Amino acid sequence: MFEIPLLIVAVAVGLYMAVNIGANDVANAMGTSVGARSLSLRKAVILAATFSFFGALLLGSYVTETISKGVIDSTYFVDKSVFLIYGMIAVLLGSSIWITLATYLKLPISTTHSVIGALIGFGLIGPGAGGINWRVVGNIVLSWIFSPMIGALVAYLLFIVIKKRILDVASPLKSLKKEGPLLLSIVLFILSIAFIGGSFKRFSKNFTLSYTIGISLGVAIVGGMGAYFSLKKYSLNREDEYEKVEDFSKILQVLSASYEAFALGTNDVANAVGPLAAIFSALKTGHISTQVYVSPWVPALGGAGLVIGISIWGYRVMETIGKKITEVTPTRGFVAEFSAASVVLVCSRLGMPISTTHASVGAVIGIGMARGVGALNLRVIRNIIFSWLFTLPIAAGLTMGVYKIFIII
Amino acid sequence: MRNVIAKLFHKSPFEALYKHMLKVKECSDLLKPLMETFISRNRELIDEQIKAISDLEHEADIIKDEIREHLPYHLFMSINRADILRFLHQEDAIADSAEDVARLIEMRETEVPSELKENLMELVNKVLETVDSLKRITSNIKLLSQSSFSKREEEKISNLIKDVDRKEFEADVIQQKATKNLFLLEGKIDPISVVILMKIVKELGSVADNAQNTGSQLRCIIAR
Repeated sequence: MFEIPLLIVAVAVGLYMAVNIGANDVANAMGTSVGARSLSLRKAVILAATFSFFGALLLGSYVTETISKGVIDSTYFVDKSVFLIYGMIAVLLGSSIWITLATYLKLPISTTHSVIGALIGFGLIGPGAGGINWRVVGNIVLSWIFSPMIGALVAYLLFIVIKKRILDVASPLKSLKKEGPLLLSIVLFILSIAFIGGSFKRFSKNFTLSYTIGISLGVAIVGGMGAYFSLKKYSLNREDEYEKVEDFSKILQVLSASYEAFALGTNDVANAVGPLAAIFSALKTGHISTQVYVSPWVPALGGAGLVIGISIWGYRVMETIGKKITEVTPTRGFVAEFSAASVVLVCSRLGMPISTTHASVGAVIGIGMARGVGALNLRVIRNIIFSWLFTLPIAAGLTMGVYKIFIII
Repeated sequence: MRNVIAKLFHKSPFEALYKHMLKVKECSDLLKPLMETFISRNRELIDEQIKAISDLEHEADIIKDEIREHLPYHLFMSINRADILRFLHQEDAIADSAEDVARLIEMRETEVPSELKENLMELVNKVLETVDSLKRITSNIKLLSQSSFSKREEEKISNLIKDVDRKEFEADVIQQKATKNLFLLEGKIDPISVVILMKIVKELGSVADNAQNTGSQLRCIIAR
C-alpha cells in the first residue's frame, strides 16, 4: 500500500530539516552566550547539542502533536491514509525547499512559519479549506504575534529587577553578595521544574508534583549556598565592581543557555518531525485515528538531527554571531535567554509552534527598552514581518506543487 | 545562514564617541607646545606644530562623520539620537577652536610681549585642564551604559561635569585678566598685534567654552 522509497525520502527530508534547524536556529538562540564570552564556542556547541536533544526527546511531543494532527483535520483521511502520507511528505518537501532557498538567500525566515504555511497549502489542495482546523491556525498565528511581545515584556521586567536590585545601587558587588545567591536559587528552581516536572512524568507516573518541587528546592538551596560561599571571597570597594557582577552573570548565563537550548528542542523539533509523526501513525494503524500517541523515538530522531546540525554547521554560525555581538554583556545575555526560553517552553507545553528566534529577538528588544543595550537595529523587525508575509504563501504554494506531482505520479 | 540575532545588535556608538574624544584631546593638547614655540618665535617648529593640529582636527572630523553615518534612524538606542549628534557636534567644536587658534598664530608673525607671556601660558594650561576634565567624563560613559544608566553612575558623571564647569570658569577669569593686561600695553605694541593677540586669547577661551558646552550636552543625555 505504501512505498518504502517514499518513506525513506520522508525520513531523510525530516532529518534534513532538523539539521537545518540545528545549524541556524540553535545558533541564533545561543548567540548571546558566545557573544558575551560566557561560553567558549566548544562548550556552547556541547551544551546546545545536549540540551536541545533532551528538550526534543522529553517535551517535543506537544508541538509535534499540533503539527501532525492539529492543523489538518484527519477525519478526512479515515479511509484514504495514503493521501495523508503523500500530503505530509509534500509538506516536508515544500517547507524544506523554501527553507533551503531562504537560507541560501540569507532571508530571516522561521522554519516554524514555513511548516505551518506548508500544512495550510496541503490542507487547501487536499481536503480543501474545510479540512483545515482554522481555530488552531488562528491560535498559532496569535502565538506568533504574542510570543515576541511577551518575551520582550518578561525580559524588560526581569532586567529592571536586576537593575534596581544589583546594578543601580551604591555598591553593585555588595548587593550581588546579598541578591546573587537568591537569584541563582530562583533560576535553578525554575530550571529544575522545567527539566524534571515536564519531562520525567512521561516515563514514570510516580513522579508527582511534590517530588518535582522537592528536588527543585533541593537543587535551588544547594546552588544558592554554593553561590553564597563563592561570592564571599570577593573583596568590596574595588574599581571593577561591574565586571565582578558580570563574572557572576556568566554562571547564570551558562544555565540560561542550557535552558534555552532545551526550550528550543521542545518546540522547533516538531517542525521537522511533526509531519513524520503523522506519517508513521498513519502507517502503524493503517487508518487514521484521532488520538495518536507520538512515540518517543520520533522526537528523538529529530533531536539527533538537531545535534548533527549543531555539530556540522551550527558552530560556524555561533562563531559568526559571537564575533558580531560583542556588545552584549553576560547580565543582558542571561536575561535575554532566560526570558525567551521561558516563553518558548510555555508555548511548547501549550502545543504552540512558535519561532524561537523571534522570541529571542523580542527578549533582546525588551532589554533595550530598559536601556540595557547600546544600539539595536529595529529594521530586523520589519524584515521579520516581511519574511512572515512571504513564507506562508510560498511554503503553501511549494507544498501544493509537490502534492500535485505526487498525485499525478 | 539565517542569522537574525547578529543583525539585531548594532554597534554601540559609545566606543566611537570615546575614540572621538581622545582625538579631540590629542589635538587640543598640542596647543601648549604650540604656544611655547609661538612665544619663543621658532617659525619652523610652529609650521610643523600647526600642521599636526590641523591633521588631528581632520582625523577627529573623520571619526565624527563615521559616527554620524552609523546612526541611522531605525536604530533603537539607550541614548536619544539627536542628543548624541549634538554632543558630537559640540565635542568636535573643541578641536575646531583649537585649530582656529593655530590658524591665527600661523596668519601673522606676531611678537608676544613679555608682560603677556605668563598670562597666555596660564590660560592655555587651564583650557587644557578643562578639556582633560571632560575627557575623564567620556571614559565614564561606557560604565554608564554597562550599569544601564544607574543613578550611581549618573551622579558620578554629574559631579564630573561640575568640575568641567569650574575649570571653564577659572579659564574665563584668566582670559579676562589676559585681555585686561593686553589693553594695558596700548601704545607700546602695534595695534595689529593687539588685534591678533586678542583674537588668540578669545579663541583659546572658546576651546574651554566648547568643552563646557559638551559637558552640558552630556547632562541632557543622562537626564533622560
